[in-house]
Amino acid sequence: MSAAERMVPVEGRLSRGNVAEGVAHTQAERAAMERSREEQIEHERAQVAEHYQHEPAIFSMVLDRRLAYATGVFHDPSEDLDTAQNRKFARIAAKLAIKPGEKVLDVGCGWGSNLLYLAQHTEGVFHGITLSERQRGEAMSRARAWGVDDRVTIDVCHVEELAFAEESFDAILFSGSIVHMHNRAGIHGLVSRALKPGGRMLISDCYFPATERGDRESEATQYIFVEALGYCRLIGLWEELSMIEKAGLDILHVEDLTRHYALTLGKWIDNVRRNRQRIEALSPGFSRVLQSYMTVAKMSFARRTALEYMILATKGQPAVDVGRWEIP
Amino acid sequence: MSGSMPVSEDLSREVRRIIAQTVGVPVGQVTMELRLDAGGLGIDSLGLIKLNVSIEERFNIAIPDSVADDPSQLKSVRDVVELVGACVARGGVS
Repeated sequence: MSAAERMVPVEGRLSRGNVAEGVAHTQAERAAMERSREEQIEHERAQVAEHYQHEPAIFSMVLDRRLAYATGVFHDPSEDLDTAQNRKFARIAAKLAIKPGEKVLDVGCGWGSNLLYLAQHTEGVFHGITLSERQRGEAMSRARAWGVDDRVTIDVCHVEELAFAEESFDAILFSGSIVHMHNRAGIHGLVSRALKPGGRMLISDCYFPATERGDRESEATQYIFVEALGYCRLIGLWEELSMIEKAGLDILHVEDLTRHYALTLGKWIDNVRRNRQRIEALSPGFSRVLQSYMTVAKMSFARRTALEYMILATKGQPAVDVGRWEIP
Repeated sequence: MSGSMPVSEDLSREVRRIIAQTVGVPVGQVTMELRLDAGGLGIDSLGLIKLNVSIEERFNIAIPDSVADDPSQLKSVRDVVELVGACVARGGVS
């Protein structure tokens, strides 16, 4: 099938009420477009959660101390994971500029890396959602251990089924999570309604280059998007930004972290190697899945056939002045 | 990959066994000069990554990033055997 044939407008495939926009980039995305919205939500609930339902002890051997499953920010490739992830947490905190009492929603909060960092470093009130009961349990256990559980709640919930009041959040965060969500236009609409005026949305996730680079129909792509991670929908940055803007938000800042993700993945792979036997003892076969998918991802970021961006958007007047951020 | 030190027959046999298992062919068909790609065993880029991971696991070695990140450098069964031999000689994962 040629690239042109694959770029079929989605509208023709939306006979069952799916509200996705744009064109299909991969086999995984085309399969999602054949499902109804309800079927896709159930698909994400079951398939995406599976990866994250593995023992937190496994991820503790691979990731940094706060269990961030997303890129760090390195000043030097020799830095360790904790240094790079702490820099990323601090950067997210600076971008979201959470004031005392402000309400923050972390969609796909994982084991609470960003949520708990922000709870410890600001006086905001935090609500996380995840599809994994195990992640919720680990994150709440950490919240109690670190004395912030009075300002942290976490539910197991799909974002499209979240019950929220209009204009109820000051900041909404997606770190390494929106890639698992198919209905992006619908989710940006939800974010736009849920944010108060002056509210911020931050996304840190991966995208395809606008011009096709690399083989998106390869077995490797299918492996990482479906077999290893359940469901991934990589789109172009321009498509995400367009949907954010159409939902009524303004883009404040976008930065590329592609090189940093390749470095982060390299550190994770080394940790899988070091802990292979312990991981296998807890979950036979999982060290192979981790190392294989992480190697595909690392190669993709190193070759820039996949790109990592952090996006900051605002609803109305910005709470932060990005023009004053210093570039050293 | 040429010019590597000689490797033992046991190691060579074990690497060929893993390749055979990965591809799903009898080990007798996995000869040293056979190509890994479509001209021989038909292993694609994902298959090469999975093969490298299986080999790392079996021998407790780390294949250097220069190869792990671009496994297409491995052209033949002999290339894989010699790579593993060199990695084993260098020592296991620290």
